[in-house]
Amino acid sequence: MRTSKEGRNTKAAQGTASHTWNRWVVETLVVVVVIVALDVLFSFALEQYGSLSSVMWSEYRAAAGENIDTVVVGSSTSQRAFDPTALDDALGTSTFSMATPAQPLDDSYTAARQAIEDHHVRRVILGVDYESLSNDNWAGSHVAFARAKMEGESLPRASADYWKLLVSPAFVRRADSLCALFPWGYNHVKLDPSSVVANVRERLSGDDALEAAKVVNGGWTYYGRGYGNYDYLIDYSQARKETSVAIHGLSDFKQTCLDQVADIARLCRENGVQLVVVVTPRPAFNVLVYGEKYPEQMELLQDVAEAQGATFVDANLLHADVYSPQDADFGDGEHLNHAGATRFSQEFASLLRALDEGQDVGSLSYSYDGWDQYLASIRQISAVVSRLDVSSDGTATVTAQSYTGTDVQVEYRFLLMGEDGSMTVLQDWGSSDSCEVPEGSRGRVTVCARQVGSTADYDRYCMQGLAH
Amino acid sequence: MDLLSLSFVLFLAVSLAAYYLVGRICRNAQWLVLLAASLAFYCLAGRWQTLAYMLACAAITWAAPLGLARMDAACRAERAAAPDRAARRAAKAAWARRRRAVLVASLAACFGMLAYLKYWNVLLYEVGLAASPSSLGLLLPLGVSFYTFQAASYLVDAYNGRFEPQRNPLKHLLFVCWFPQVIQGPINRYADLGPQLLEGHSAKGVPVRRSLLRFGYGALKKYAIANMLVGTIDQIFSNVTPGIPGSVVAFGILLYSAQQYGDFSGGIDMVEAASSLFGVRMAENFRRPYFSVSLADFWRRWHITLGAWMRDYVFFPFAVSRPMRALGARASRLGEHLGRTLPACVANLLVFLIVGLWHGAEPHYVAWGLYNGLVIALADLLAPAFSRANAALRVDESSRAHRALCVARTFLVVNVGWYFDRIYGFGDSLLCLRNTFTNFAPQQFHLWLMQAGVLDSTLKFMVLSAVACLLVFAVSLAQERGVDVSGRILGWNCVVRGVFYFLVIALVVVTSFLTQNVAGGFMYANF
Repeated sequence: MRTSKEGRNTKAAQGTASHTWNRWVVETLVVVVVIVALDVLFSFALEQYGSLSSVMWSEYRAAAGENIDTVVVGSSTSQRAFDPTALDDALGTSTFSMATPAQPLDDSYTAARQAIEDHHVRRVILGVDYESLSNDNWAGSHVAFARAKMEGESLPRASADYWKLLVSPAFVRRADSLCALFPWGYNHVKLDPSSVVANVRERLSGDDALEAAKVVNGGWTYYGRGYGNYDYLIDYSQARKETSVAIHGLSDFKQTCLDQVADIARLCRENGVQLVVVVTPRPAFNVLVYGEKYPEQMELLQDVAEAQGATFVDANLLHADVYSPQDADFGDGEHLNHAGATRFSQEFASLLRALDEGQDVGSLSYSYDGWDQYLASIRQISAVVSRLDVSSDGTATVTAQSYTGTDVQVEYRFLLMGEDGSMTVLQDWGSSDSCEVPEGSRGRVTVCARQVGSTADYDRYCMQGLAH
Repeated sequence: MDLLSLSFVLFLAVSLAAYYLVGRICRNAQWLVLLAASLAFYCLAGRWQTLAYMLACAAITWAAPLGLARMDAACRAERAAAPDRAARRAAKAAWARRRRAVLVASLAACFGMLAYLKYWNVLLYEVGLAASPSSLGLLLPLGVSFYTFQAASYLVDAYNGRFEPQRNPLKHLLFVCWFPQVIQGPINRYADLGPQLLEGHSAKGVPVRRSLLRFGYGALKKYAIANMLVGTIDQIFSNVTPGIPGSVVAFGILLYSAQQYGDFSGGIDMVEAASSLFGVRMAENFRRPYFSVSLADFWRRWHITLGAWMRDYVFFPFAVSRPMRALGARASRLGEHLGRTLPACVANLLVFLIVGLWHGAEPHYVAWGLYNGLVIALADLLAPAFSRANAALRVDESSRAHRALCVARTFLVVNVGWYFDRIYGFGDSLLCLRNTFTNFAPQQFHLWLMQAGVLDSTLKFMVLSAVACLLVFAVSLAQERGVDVSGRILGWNCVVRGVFYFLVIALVVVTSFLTQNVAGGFMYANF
């Protein structure tokens, strides 16, 4: 039998337990609120305001009432290859570019689906390059894309979109799936006080995303319909640093990426939308740098696209009478500049017109089976690069390599540019691609290359620093 | 599946909900949830194709002790029926031989699987019969060494009659495949872990906040220290040339010291935390090893459960074996200390040879193991000389300064060992060791790092790792002084705690983002 004292003790114990529980809940809530508040504060200060993804989405939403029948999706190479105005002027279409920097293929799928749902577009142009299919998805661009998409959405829709990102195959098994709850860690400004202050000031200024993007991305111009570009020109003497292999490494296409292309093609097919998969133009040296990997891997992409009923075009392999890029068309080794994009879009419009007329566009370019024909079609030196070898006895040798067609004969000249600016010819024009550097030389070796028979000072050149 | 991932959080949440819900209905059935979760985790995190190896290991180590128990019963019956003492002794000896044969056969089967999966391809490669160390395409099961060692300990303990063998094969399977331990240990003992897994728990007694704190601490070590440093270490040691400056080598080894501790102990913190959310406390595997005062002390604080396993199942049986006793007796003619310590020294060499081989069949691992064994053996043998020297120099062995000196000395000795562990070529290890002392060349430090591809920005971001290291050092120092750090933090004002948690999370978020291309797995996951 329980005494009254025992009963009082039990009640007191229950009261204490209840009090402890309440205190625990309140403390936990406070901790969570503090963390969320700091997360919001950090996002405000550090998350890039005016990213190109947010420009795309805000402009896309602004065009909600307009007619859009063609969309361009893909990463920056696609974003800077297609000028919607040039396409529309030639074709009478209404194109919008939904391509964003480093856009992963599953985000291209999201963009294409959104455009199909909202505008019932009739054509999707997916611009890709080698790295679109060989590189791991960069979580930062996923987050930037998702966050920009969320900005104009209702809270439930935005939350659902972000949840979808967190549970996507690229995220769910990795730390990114939790860390992306702190988006400022993924899409942040430079972590120095002046950049942070500028970012906060831009947010508070009342500028919209587009105005902010112009400030953030110096030299970038917005031309409308989701498209913006730069005007700068590639420096071919820096080709060694500009090759995608130097920047990203060389690996085979990932099956997941090929599957994502197939998903986009399936989406388009099921909705009666024409899909054109385009390998965007780049300087020839940045195609040749892949060697035999390029045709081997690109053929896989072509097979996947065509198996799903899409049209495949490799702009780098188009016959010269269809499209032939000029040196000044490129901003760097991977991207066209604005003039280049306009020129390419005008030429590409002809190809789309041929496609619309039911012509076989496959005959307009070299095939991967006929890779040798493509190599023979290159009639100029695209770039020259060099390397320095120092043997165990200290002898330094500079060796040049030209990226050019198989039928082009190249000759080289090696000059030593001293630290005082003086120039000495180490080896005059000749077919030898290597040159021994005299012991004790200081400065840089300039390697000039030109086609045999040419009287030009050089067609291309590069500089080779010397180890001291 | 990374431990710090939504998939693991969801997996854990579903498992915990199922575990405590089932506990409300039928506490005796809770272990079934743990078993289901463990098998599911194995398939999700590892390769389901390798599940058969673990099941085979569990089946062998379940059946053999039951067989041994039956043999014990048969032995007792035969002895009871024996007409005289000689017959009883003969029966006992005969059954003992049979029991030993069963034990040896079972251990051979378990370790045979381990050897085949882990070493066969490497051995074929070393003798030129395989194209590469992985050309046979053998799939290494997740945590194969850990569950094999754990199952083997169960077998030997059952053989020695330490407990009644588990009759239920599924309960035994749970002990072998308990999911927090399969990634990289610790190597638990049945007497400690088995009852906890089977007894069932209620959510009330679970130290949730402490567990989450420990999980976060582990994540900090893993992401902000280990993952941040691993790339630079690879760049430094993937191209060892004769001219590599000692300053670069020493830098790389120090980074490795931090990376290895961050990776292994960080991972252990995370799995210990996950396990404790189910009310199951696993064996501790680290006790602030860089505060050790000797190499032997280090091995009592670093990978504790492997050290204890080796002590119980290799060191002691070998050190007290007949040949070792005979060696001790012979050595005692040269001095009592030598007679007492020489068998232990030889046993230590054997133990560390096995520890080296456990890490891999490559010569540099063997060298690393032998280095550790040799240093510990020499320290034991020379202990009286050291004591005499200390006495002669009037060194106060109980002073703080002496302790600090011992800690620093041990840190150096451990780091010399890492040369053989991390530099994947015995010749390169020796070269790097030589250059550390004869060609330190600090003026070449920066240039050489640049040539190895270590960017200035990478070095700049190492400040984040340094901050994390300082935090870990402060926590370790406090723990070394007996402070309950978790308790202190949980006692803070909740706003301060929220800010502190956020700053730690921020460090993990930033470093996780910076190291996205680093493999997410743990160094010891394939051991």
